[in-house]
Parts: sequence; structure tokens; C-alpha cells
Amino acid sequence: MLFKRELRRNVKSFIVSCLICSLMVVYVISIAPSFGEDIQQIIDLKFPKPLQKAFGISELDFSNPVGFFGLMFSYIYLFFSIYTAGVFSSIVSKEFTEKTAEYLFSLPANRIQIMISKLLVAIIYALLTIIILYGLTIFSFTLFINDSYNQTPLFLMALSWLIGGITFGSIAFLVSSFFSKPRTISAISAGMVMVMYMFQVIISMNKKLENLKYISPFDWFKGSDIANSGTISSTYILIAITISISCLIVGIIRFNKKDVLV
Amino acid sequence: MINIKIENVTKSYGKIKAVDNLTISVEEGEIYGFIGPNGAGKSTTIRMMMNFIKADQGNITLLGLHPQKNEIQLKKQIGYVPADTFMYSDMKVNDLFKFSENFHQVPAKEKINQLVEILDIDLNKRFEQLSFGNRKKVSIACAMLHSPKLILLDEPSNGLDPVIRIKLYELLKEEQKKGVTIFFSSHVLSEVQKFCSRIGLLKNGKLIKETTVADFTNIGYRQVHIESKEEINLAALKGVAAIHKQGNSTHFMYSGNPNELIRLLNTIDIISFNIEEPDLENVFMHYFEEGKEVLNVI
Repeated sequence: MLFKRELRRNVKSFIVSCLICSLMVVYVISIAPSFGEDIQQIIDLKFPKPLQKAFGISELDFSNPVGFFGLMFSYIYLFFSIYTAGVFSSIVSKEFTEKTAEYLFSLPANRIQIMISKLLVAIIYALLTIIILYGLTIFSFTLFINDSYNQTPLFLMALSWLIGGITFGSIAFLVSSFFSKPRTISAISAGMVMVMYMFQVIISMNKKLENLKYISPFDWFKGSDIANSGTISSTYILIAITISISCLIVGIIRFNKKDVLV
Repeated sequence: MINIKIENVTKSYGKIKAVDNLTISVEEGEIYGFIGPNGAGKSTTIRMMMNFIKADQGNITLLGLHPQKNEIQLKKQIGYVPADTFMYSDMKVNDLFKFSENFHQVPAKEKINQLVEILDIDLNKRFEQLSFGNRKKVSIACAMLHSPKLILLDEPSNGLDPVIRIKLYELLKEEQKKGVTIFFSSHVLSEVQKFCSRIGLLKNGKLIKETTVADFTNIGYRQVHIESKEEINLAALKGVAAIHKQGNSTHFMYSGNPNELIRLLNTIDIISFNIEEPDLENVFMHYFEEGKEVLNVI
């Protein structure tokens, strides 16, 4: 019953985020053929090399439609991460901020079961978003791209969004267990994603900071790397999974111990 | 059988002790009234019983079970009505009942219908559309729909109109007859007086008195009200406490010789005079007046 309620409660934000990401995907793929190889010249004219590096487009191969799609990778990654951070940070904390925790926890279910049910809904919606985006990517490529292309990088890009998004969501869930005001929670969650994105931009522009690239999940998965190599780093996947699981466990422990004060 | 056992429980927030070494026990089928001024620690105590707040020290046992170790088993047998009612605002009342019923895993349709009728609840409204009093009624029904063995109520009549208030207490009396133990905090002392078998008085987190309502009000004092044309000098009268003067009116508690009071009254020009048994409200007010115990009955 709680699971169904959470599915219903979060369906609107899922539809909105899914719609925005889908439009981005379809738009980029649909305009790809009209630009062709000229896009490289346009980008070289409009953007200086450091800026191209900062936004991860310097190493993209625009003669290849997958490379062109890589142009959009970081923006969908950013938007999807803001969405997951928002959902994960509010899914349990909302019960405390809206003061419904007293009612919910008076019912015969332990808090850990309740939190796992809620987190499962957040993960399902994240997964569903990525499945839809991946399906739509393949569909759009079939529809708009006449040349042959490799599907593996497209799959790995979708997988990167999912892993990165859930990492941000898990961190936001942990953050939400420390605060009690809803505005603080949502501001910190969205702010954290934006700061990490900017951090990645700064690191990309400055070689001296290259050692710091482990800090931002936006540095772990880059559209250009995936498009060019057709692989993603297993080290970063491991780091992402470790961080996600740790944050979720610590967050659950904190919420489990949290006093219900009205 | 003891259904509520609170032993030496302490809860502090920083340097402030919200509950201080509290010990209470309530028998099966008893209605226990928990009274005290705001901030006395009543809600904190109830929340510790519900495992919403962890006690710093001490031990709580409800229906022979530990609130943390046997949480699910216990909550299947407890009904809880909070002081402030917050439920899912987007849900219809009917869905909230189904939601609660589903967690308790007991068929409760008949009981829900009974509660809806007694408390006059509109099933089709969303929770956010309800007034404070109607929200409280939904909360009471949710707490009782699974026929709990123990009902904890924090200021249950707060926000209810007088008719529903009477119905609620009749409902609780019916539950008591079935052996249900009821523990509730209230500011409506006249109701505590009518309804409870025993009361506990809490002040600054400490239980300062635990007694039956009859013993509590039977303190040997009488409440005296005098309206006179001149000022009354009570200094010579022995057994006077809690004096209040307002214009021509004088109120005080009196435990002395009635003949001496009559002699004093004979010397002044009286407009009206009344002497009565003090009700719980009067005694309670005097217990907590200006932070000191005015009546020496503890």
C-alpha cells in the first residue's frame, strides 16, 4: 500500500523529468543529420578550445552520429541528476518536514522497511526514466540516422546516467537526514549537483587540477570518452556503487534513529 | 495485569529535562489521565511510549512488550491519537482508512462504519479539505479501527465540538468495558474528572502526584467565592489558601473552622456568597499557580 502510494505520489515529477529528457534526446538526434560534419567547423569558430574542453566537446567526433549525440550527454546527465537528487532527498525527509511521520510510524511497520519501500520507488523511477530514454534514443537513431552506428556507446551513456544519477540521489538522501527544513534540503541537494558540475568544468579547463577528477561524478562518465572508446571505467562504476550503498545505509541508520518531533 | 509500565524514564533536550525519572503503571482496563501544564512532558512521555523518541534512561513496557524490540507486534495492538493531526493531505478520508487497515492487516470495515457513524465523518473529502476538528475525528477513527488493546491519546478532545467530545468519551468508555486500557493527556480537566479512574500530575517532567480523581479533589478544602461591598481582611482566618481578589470579588480555598468563616462573614456587607467542593480544575490551577504549590496536599 505504501509502495503504491509512493509510486502515485512521485509520478508527476517522473513524467516531467522524463518528458524534458526525452525532448532533449529526440531534438539532438533529429538535428544531427542536418549538421553533418559542418558542426565541427561551427564549434571551432564559436567556442575557443579551453571552453570546448570544459564542456567535454573537444574530443567528440562529429562525423559520427554517436559522437554528435555525445554533445548532449552531459546536459541530460546534469538534468537527470538534479531530478534524482530531488526525489531521493525528499522521499523520506518529506514525512518529517510535512509532519506525517508521526502517523506513518504509528502504523505496524518498522522504519527500515518503510524507508526501503520508499527508496525502491525512487530507484524504480530512475531506472524507468533511463529505460525510456535509451529506448527513445535507439528509436530516434533508427528514425533519423541513415548511417550505420554502434549501439554500445549509446547503452553505456544511458548506464552512466543511471549510475551517476543514483549516486547523486544517494548522496542527497544522506544529506536530507541531517536537515529538517524542506527548503534547505532541496537547495542543498540541487546545489550539490550544480557545484559538482561546475567543479568538473573547472577541472577540465585546468590540467593542474586533474588529480581532483575523482571528486565529481560528472568527471567519472564523459560523453566524449564513451563515444570514442565505447567503454566506461569499471573503477568509477565501483566507486559510484560503493558511495551509493554507503550513503543509503548511513541515511537509513540516521532516519531510523531520528526523533519524530511535531 | 499491568498494561503500561514506565520505570525511571528520563529524557533530556540539552540541559533541559523534558521527562525526569518518571515512573507510572497502569492496569488493564484502566483509564489513566495525564495532566499538567504546557511543557510538563506529557507529549514527550507518550511519544517515548510510541517509540518516536528514545528515552535517555529507564524502561518502558506496554502490554508486556518493549516498544523498540517488539515494535510491529506492539503497534498492531496500540491506537495512537496525536495532539496535532498531520496525515496525507492529498488522500481521501476513505483511502486513509484503507491505508491504515492495510498496515494492520485486520478486516476493519464494520468498525470503520461504526466509527464513521458515531463521529460523523465525511469519507469522500480529502484530508486537506477538513477542518482541524474533523481531522482530529479521522485521526481518532484511524487509531481505533483495528480494535487496539491499548489507546494512547494526546489531547484528544482538542478541536472537537462538545457533541463529538461527549460521543468520543462514550466511545472510549465502551472500549474500556471491553478491557481496553486508555492513557490520555488533557487540558480539559472537567473531562478528566468525569472520565478517568486515576490521574497523574506532571510538572517539569516530574510526576508530582498520582491518585484517584476522588482523592485528588477531596483535599479538605472548599472553594469560597464572596462578593462584598467592602474589602475583606482574611488575615485573621486560619486555613485560607490561594486568595484571589478582583474588584469586589474574593475567591479563596478554605480548610479551617466553618464557624470562624461565618463569624467573619457576619462582620461585612455581602452581595453574594458561595461555598462549594473544589473541582479538578480549581485544584489543578492552585497546584500550578505561579510555579508554586499553593495547597499543601501533596
